[in-house]
Amino acid sequence: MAVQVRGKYRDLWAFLRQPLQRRLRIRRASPEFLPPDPLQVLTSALHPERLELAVEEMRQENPFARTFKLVPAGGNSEGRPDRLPPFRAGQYLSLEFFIQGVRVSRPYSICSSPTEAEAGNYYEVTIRSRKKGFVAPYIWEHWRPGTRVWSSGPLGQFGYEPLRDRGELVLLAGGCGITPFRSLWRELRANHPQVSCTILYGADGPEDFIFQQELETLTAETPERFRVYFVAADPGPHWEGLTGLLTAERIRELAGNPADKTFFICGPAGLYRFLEEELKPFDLSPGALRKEACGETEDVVLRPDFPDDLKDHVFTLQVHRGENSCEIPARASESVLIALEKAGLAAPAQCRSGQCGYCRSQVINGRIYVLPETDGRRQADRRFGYFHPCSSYPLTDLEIRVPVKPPMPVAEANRS
Amino acid sequence: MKTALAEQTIQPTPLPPAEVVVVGAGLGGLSAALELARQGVKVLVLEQHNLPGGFATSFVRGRFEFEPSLHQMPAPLPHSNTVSVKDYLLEEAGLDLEVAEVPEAYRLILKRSGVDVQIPFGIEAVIELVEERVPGSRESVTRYFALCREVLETLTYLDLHREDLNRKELLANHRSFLNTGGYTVQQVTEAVGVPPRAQEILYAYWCFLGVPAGRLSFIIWGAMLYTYLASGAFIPRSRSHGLASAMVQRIEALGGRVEYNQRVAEIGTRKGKVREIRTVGGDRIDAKQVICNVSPSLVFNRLIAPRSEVPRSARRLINARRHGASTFVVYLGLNRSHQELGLNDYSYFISPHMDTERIYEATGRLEPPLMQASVCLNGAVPDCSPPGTSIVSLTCCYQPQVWEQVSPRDYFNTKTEIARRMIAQFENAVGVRLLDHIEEIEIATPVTFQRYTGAYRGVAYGYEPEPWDSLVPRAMALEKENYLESLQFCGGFSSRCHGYGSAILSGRAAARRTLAGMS
Repeated sequence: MAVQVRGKYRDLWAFLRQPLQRRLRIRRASPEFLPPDPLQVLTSALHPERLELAVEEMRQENPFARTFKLVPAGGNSEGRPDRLPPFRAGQYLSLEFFIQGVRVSRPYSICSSPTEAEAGNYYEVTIRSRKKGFVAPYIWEHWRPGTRVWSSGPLGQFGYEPLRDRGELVLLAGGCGITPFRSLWRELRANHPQVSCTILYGADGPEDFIFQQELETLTAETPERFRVYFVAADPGPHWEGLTGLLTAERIRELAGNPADKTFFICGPAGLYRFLEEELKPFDLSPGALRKEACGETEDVVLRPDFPDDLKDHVFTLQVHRGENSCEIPARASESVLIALEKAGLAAPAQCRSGQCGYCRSQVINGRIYVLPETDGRRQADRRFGYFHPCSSYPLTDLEIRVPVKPPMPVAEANRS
Repeated sequence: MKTALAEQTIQPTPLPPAEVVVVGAGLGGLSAALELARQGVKVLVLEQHNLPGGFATSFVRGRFEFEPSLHQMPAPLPHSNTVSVKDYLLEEAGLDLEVAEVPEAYRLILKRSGVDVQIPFGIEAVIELVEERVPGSRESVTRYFALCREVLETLTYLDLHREDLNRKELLANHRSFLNTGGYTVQQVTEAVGVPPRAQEILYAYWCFLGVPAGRLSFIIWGAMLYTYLASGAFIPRSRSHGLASAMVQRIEALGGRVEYNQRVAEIGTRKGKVREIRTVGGDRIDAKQVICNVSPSLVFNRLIAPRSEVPRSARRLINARRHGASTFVVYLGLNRSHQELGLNDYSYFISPHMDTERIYEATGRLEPPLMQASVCLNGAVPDCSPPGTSIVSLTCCYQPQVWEQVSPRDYFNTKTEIARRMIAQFENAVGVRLLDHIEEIEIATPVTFQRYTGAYRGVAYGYEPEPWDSLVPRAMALEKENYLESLQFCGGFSSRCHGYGSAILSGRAAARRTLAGMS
């Protein structure tokens, strides 16, 4: 027996009239084009694909560190926001460079606070000079007030999360790793009165500390919420502060009982390895230990599981992009991403630490070494041979497929 | 003055030529490409993002890989010739894909109505359970499911007989379908006499369709309800990214290509025919046949060039429709196993009541939702996270206009506060403490989904399937509304409405229409 709703004929009519109803509704509707997507306004304000910034000021923090104030370049092309996107303290910018014919990007933590971005419409980044580096020396040499810089929007997940983290934080910084914490303590101080914070800052020598004066003021003005300790490994004759390394004993002595605290670490790769051992007796749950992505590792060949006989080896990479293919050299000691960039192949990259997956590519043939602590691959990607070139090293000759770097809009690239 | 990027020039990377270009690698686009590749057609998929899948993806935070959007897909109906997505993917297309069964239909907790039930899979079991809770409902609920089954069978019949539809047979053997096809869920459910207390229990899945019972097409509802409850459900073992990746792998093995970071800027059209695809990077590709896994809203308002090529009726149709909901999701990686926490179910529907009109209305305001649909992934895939941990995601809907009102400066706090309230709602309803065990947390809003998928207004749910814009009217108008020759649509905004299974089947159907147009 067929179900009836309003009676045999009315039901059939209700069904049959639907195409008519549809036609009628369409005929009555406006023929106008849709207005611009209102949500897109918010999405682009929060997550612009690219920012064009200009250096407004620079400031020498110490002999080895310089802070650059970046503001919207403005006044050039349509559609680019002149308000900088808000961000969460601890996030970074992926800055783009074109150096010696090579298009590369580097992540730099924003060291100013979200409140300052809101009020003053600027970000600050502090960049340490490194003799061996490729990009940092370029920045020191070329960036002056007025220099224009391409950037991503703010990226990354490192930082305080009120739904996850405890009310007492321990910030462990090494050297230039203090930069995201500057953003964080400024933000905590302004907007999170319930959070207190112990900052342990380790560096080689006294002259390596950055923001020392600001940190001293912070602890002097709000001693109940912020405690700051400088620890110099190689103190020299004039240093009167703490010396040595950020050992478990030192941390417990200065930060107190580790239970019910959330630890944040940022610094060079060596610091992570050192602290991993030191923090073991604290038995922290993984969620209570937050590590900033540390960028590419320079000493992968020293890893105990890295094949010793390969360390000086140079392999051949056959690279496919779109319909193009080419062969390039790749050192076993350098990430596949570096090999691509050195060969002048603009490859997509953001965190350069294996985490964000923006450089995701595919191995067709050959084997790679993936840094275990920065292996952010998805399960299915492992299964189907996808990898993150920024945290992977060739163990054989490789055949790989790399996506193109998202192009700049034509209008922007043809300007200049 | 020397600028940092002064030397930059643009170098388009040539893309492979193709007989058919698919715009968008969402499930619809991938499925279209898969079907074409299976038929030996040279197909190129252009995806703006660096990953396949659209909403069907995954993301990693710390030790956890999260499922962004899928709750469940329908398993094959036993002893039936209905089209099964699972059979299509695994048997016909031969995907390298592991799936897991969803253990039970859902747990429904309605605090104000005093309901807390676990609904199993299996029609008999559901009827039994509803009778136990609502004595005297057995007869009407049995009739209700029989009707839903008929609806599903007719849809299958229509699918199989698109070309040779026999009106007499339709009138003779499919009267229940015809008699209910013009009505809403509420009209039909009341007519069948399902008591209000039983309706409450049976309506939980309405939030997968996102339209209140008083406006939702009964056909799409009846088919969905019956399919899930009768046949059960499954999910890919390694998140939706496992599904999307398996599809890409198969497409490429069959000679197709998927290219990432390739956003389409324009679909060049002349005299009502698609001619060329132009990418943001400056590539131009001859395209005689195009399949769009992009909403008609975006294609006709943003992509077709020149704009004079967009027919007025295409614009009218878009303006006649209502854009469906977007979603807000709180993803939690917890540092306790689901057993330790007492999370014994996979799927949780939590709301004060089941007044779908009022719940829907609340999705139009920027406030914590009345209803959440939440999942403990370990309930279906016990080892989806490391031993001693678990993954929970809490989802609610918002109508498109809601997040548009948020200012950039309030955005992060708004997210956090709504997430906090949703976590509290879950904790109160289920009696489990989550807040003390959060190892990783991520919160996605309509902005997040728009950022990664490019969806117009962040919409996840396509156009709202009211009776006039539901499965049958869309299918009947398919040819008439095919406004540009050689351009087909697939995905959540196309003829089969939204949902994982629908998107996949829509892609296959679009590929078949394209093939027919090529020959």
